[in-house]
Amino acid sequence: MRLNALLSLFLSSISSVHSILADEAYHIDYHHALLGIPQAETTFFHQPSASSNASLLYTISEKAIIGAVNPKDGSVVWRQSLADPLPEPASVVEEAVKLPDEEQQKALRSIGPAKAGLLAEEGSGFVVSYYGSAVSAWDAMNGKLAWQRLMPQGQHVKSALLIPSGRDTSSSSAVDVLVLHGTEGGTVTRLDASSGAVVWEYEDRSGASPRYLASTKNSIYYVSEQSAVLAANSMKIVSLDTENGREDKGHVLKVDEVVTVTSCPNAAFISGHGRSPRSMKVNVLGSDKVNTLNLERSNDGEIEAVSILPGCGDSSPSHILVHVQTRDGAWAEVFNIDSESAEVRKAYSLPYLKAKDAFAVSIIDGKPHFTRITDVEIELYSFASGIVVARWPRNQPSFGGPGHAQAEVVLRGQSNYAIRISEVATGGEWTLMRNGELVWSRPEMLAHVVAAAWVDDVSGEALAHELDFEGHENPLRAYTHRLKRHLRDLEYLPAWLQQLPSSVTSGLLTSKAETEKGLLGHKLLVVATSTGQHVALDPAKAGAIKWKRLAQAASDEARAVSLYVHDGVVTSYVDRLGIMTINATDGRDISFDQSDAHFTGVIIAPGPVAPVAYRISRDGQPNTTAISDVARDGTYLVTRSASGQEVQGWMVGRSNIKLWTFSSAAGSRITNVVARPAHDPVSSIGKVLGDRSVLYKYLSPNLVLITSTKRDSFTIYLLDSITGTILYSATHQDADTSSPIPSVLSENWFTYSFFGTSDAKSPSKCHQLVIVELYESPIPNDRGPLGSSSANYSSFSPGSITKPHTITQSFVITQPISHMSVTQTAQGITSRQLLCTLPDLNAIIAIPRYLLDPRRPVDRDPTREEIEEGLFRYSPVLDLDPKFFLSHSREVVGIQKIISAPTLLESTSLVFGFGGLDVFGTRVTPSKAFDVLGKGFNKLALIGTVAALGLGTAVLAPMVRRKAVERGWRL
Amino acid sequence: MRVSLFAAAALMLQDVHAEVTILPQLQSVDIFYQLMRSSPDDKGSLLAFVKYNVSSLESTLLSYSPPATSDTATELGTSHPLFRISTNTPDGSTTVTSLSTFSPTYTQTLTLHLRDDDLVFAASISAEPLVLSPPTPQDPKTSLKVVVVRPQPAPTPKLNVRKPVVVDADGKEVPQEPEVEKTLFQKYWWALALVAVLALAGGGDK
Repeated sequence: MRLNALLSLFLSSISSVHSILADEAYHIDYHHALLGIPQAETTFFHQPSASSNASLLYTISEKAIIGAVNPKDGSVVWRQSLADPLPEPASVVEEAVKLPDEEQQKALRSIGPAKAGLLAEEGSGFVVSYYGSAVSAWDAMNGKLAWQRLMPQGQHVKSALLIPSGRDTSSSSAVDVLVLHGTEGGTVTRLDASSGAVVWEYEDRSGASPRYLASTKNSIYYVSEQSAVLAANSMKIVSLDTENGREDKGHVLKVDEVVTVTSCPNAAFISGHGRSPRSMKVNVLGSDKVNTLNLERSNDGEIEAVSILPGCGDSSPSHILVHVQTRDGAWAEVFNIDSESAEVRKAYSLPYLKAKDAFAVSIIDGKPHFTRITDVEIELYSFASGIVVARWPRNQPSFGGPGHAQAEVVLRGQSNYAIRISEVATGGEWTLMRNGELVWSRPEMLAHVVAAAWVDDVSGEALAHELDFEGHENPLRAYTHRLKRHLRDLEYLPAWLQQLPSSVTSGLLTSKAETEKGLLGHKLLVVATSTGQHVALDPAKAGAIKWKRLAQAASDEARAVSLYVHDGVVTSYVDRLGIMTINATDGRDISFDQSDAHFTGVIIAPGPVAPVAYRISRDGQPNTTAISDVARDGTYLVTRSASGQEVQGWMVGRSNIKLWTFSSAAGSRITNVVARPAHDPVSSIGKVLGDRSVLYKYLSPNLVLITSTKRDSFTIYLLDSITGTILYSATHQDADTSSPIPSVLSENWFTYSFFGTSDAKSPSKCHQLVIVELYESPIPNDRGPLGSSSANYSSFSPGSITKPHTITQSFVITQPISHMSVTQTAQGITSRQLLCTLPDLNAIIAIPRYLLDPRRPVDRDPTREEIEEGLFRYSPVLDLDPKFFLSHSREVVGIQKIISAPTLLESTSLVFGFGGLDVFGTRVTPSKAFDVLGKGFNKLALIGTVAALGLGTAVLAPMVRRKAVERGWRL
Repeated sequence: MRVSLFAAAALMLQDVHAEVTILPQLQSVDIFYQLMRSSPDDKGSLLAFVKYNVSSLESTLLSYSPPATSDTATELGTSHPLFRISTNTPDGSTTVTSLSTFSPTYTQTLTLHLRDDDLVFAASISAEPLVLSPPTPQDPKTSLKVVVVRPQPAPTPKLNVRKPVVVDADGKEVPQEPEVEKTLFQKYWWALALVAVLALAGGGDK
């Protein structure tokens, strides 16, 4: 104990200058810079500059991130967030501090959900996006914002198009942007794409709700839905003059539920079908004629989904491909559209396949070609005949089946086709294939990670069990058991002897990185997304994906997931879906227990045989997953109701008893409840002061820290989790409670951060970081009331709950912190670091704990004894030193949770951040890598020196002996 | 101008005064105890009735009736029956204590936590071993200490104190007169005095 204390004192004194060294950056850390799962309508290949043939892949993802990806290697060229801030993942919305008040909610309902769209025109040099109420133009090469135009009164953009400007292209852009916005009666605005200036505006005063825009070479069509009172499901189509936006003519059309509007240079058309369609209605805009297309095929299942892909060539007629999906298979129908007669005729059908597939349209020499992608092969159909002109086998099936795809086809010579396909799988993986060969894949599903857990290497555990058995048996039985074990081990001897020479040579030549991997332990990281994917990442291999699994019966709906890893088995509790168990090493499903139980979280409690999972319902009630499975008697849980009104203390076991409740008063909400980490070892029970006296730490395993917020103030409560007694409480007035107030509790201290007034007297506000340390008594060498009590006592015995002595300090920080965590090491000897997410800088930092010492002397220099303790003068502003940045020069966007795990090395802690968008992992050594040989150590040189010395001794020894003998005879 | 200022000040004072008189200085709270395994609709028994002053946080215990320590334990046959301590405040919290807390060999402390609206939202009872004399049957009221607490004022950054900068009409900083330097004599008079004393005292050697 004392040694530990001394060691930790020593470590805390040397830890003052740690940073990430240049040669460690990009080697010890890994980062998946993600965009989110790309959406079908907003993903395409596009040439950013007219001078080059090289194209980039552009997308707007469902996370409302616009970005460009290099098709060669899958790296992000640029990315920007359209939504500000990033949209919250649905499953953590309940926990989010922010709840829009009624007015905001009402406003949100009236304008509807934000719609995203991405437009690009070859050779224009920019891409235009719309999301929410903003239309923005971005430089296609570097993602710089060229201009942005916000719609009046926050009205959402419903649709936008690019049309040829018809102006002189030397002075302005060759295209203009046409925007439709509004709620009751839409407005069509034509914007100059080079500046965003308004060219003309058309206002519809009829009160119909605007829906779509469409355009052909000659005219613009504005489609609005008539109010349901007048005529249900009827669309009014108005054609506008491209030059001045004046209304030409209009007509009303009756359509079905699901409507799509498609624009081609020759013809624009509107199509509609019911929920489970047998046929489809298509109308070429500008004419009154409605064509009914039959989609049914004999002896197939009910049609589940219909999607339309336009194949607009330059020449008339235009083509559309209707992709029809049933439960088991899919096929496609191709139609020709004659813009003159406004007739739609069926050309041919593409064959039915009993598999999931995706279609892509690409134009070769002005003629559309259709690409069909299945899990086994890629087929390219010529538009004219509907026959396969090229076929490539796929070397790898897609993750969860093909979702949607974009194709770029090149024709060399007569019939030599080359194809590049960007495919977004149902499982959320974005891949690029060149002629069927996988070029790269981006794990975009990781943008939805809501839970993560570390998997320990379990290979050594079997031996540990056997040794444990031998230690607890009588000597004779233990001896026979040991003999048997050694006999069993003999069977591995030949193999071991065989690989002995290679292991010796490889042991000499292994790089430092590989040795380190062995020392850190072969940990895997299993993450689960809100949409049902389970992925294992290997932190030792730059976060490479080891295996991935899509949950059975998964859907797009976001769900709460809780992961638990035990003995190499990952148990995943998915809200309203069930319990999945997966083998952690290879990702194979072990079992799936379907249940529609609804929960907000899962707590794993120790049971009499195996750990027991308790599902926490919305009101905070813990329920076991199986009735017979109950936790050991005397297990205590703390739960929070989803509404944030109550924190409850429970005693579970054969019967569940609600022990205590902590309620927030009317008008306030409990936003955060934290406890000490499950693995939080303490190496020293006291703090040695400069005069060799000891301040004893208040170390209770049963502490919960509760943040209760009001409109403009919040209170921090520290509770004993067994009895519900309030141990400490402090109120901050005039604080911003709309932004998160992260907090963390570890060892004998807790910290939290917020934005609020720095002083009760001054109105100025700043970001603050508050630290509170808990001690048993204010007097050194005194344990207060705890000193007199016996070593073992219950939380319920009188006199056991004592209030801690608190030492507090507050610091001004220059950046807001959105999430906090603390590093964990195996023994807790290494000093700790506070891990924080800085959302404004897109960074993760580690603040050394010694900087936050609340005992730092204020307004005076430290005394000799304080210097000996490692204390230095308090400064109100805590500078975020660039050395603290774990993410160094990386842009780590949207991290909402950071977890940490110990390694086999005491000095080193693994860190992993996930949540909003990116995932980031690294390892930290808060007290430097004191148990690892430095880079200067050369194993080969050491062995060489020893060998040379041995050789020298062997050569010299006979010579010296002979000399000694000769000297003896001479006398 | 000055008159109006005075008037405003007077008004403000009056306001403050009015507020103070409107606010009830004295509040009271009922503390209940209830056996943990009892039925949920059991209201519990009155443990204490306390009046307290919201500004000075002084309190008076008006009634106190702790559960009987010996007979309850034998009745239930368990060693430490648990009790839930609650208050009559709406949206109040509860805490847990065991019967042994009420043992006469301990002094009990009832801690009442106040909320923003000056109501007691949580009450907890703790005990410390009696330091003095063996327990003598006495009035239980005298053995209960009542403490009323509010959340502590939270720590704030200790900003550096600098004298406010004085600016003139143009916004330029008016240089403040530096502290008048002491003259050499003012600083070192004691040295001169010492020399003088030495000179005087060491004079008569011849």
